[in-house]
Amino acid sequence: MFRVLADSESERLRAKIDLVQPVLWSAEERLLTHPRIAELYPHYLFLCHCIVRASVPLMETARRRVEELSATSDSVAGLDTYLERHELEERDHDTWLLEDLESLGIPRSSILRRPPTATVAGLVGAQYYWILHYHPIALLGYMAVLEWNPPSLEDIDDLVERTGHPRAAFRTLIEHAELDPTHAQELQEMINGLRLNPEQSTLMGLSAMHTVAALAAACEELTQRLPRSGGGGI
Amino acid sequence: MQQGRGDRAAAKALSQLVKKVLVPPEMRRAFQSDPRGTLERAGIEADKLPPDILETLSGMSYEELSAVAGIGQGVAEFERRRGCFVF
Repeated sequence: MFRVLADSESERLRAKIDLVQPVLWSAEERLLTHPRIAELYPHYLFLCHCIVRASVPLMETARRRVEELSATSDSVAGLDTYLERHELEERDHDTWLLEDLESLGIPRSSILRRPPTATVAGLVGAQYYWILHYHPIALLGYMAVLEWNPPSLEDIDDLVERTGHPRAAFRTLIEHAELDPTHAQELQEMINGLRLNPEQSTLMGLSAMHTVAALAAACEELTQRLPRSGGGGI
Repeated sequence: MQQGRGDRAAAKALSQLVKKVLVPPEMRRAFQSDPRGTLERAGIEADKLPPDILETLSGMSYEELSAVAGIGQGVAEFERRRGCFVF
């Protein structure tokens, strides 16, 4: 066997995410460097809204399952407290995204009427399955992917410039960049404080890798909405 | 010098690992119990692979290795560090 250097649960999870993360980077690169990124940006915000609107409900569902499991051998001490606190931190971020879209002249009613894609349903739906039918620890793998690697403010500034959209349309992205380093630290400490069995550790890794793959697929779908050159509308 | 994923030889070795070892189920099973021996049988030089990636794969369950296999060649793409824009 090869020696395993990662000696904490969070380091092991991070190594698994790092292994597959290039798939997401490549997909994001194709999206963000698309010559028609200005036209794609509202669709990108819609995608983010589809994901973010599920954040608090997912954490509430996971917290209820943690409470249900508290008297069993699958108990995970401290996870419910962490989730309850993080629910407050993530609350209303979906509304921020609707406001970002409104700053582009897109009414929230049109966003809420638009059906989310099967890819997003697969991304978020997998978490509900794992939480309800196996163990809520899965959600930490999902959250780690979303929070451990926020975009830099420099990259966001570049995107603002290339799209030509008002800065108000980037409020959620900017907040994400500013808040997530703190959230990432809290999540890392939470994970390191857990005493997971091998199956729970595997589930967290599976959930994280599934999240990376599904996010990459969602980005690819978005990129393919418009040809890179020439005409063709959405 | 330590191999990184951005190194072309390392990326090629990683691509071969995915194709020859992780995708075929029987090789994947063999890798889980004997990583070095399985790599040798597949004709892949373990020393060419980024050590951190090899360590991570060696510590994975069969289910996790299957997830990596499902993602496929994308894991061997060259590294470009940019934060996650989808959240």
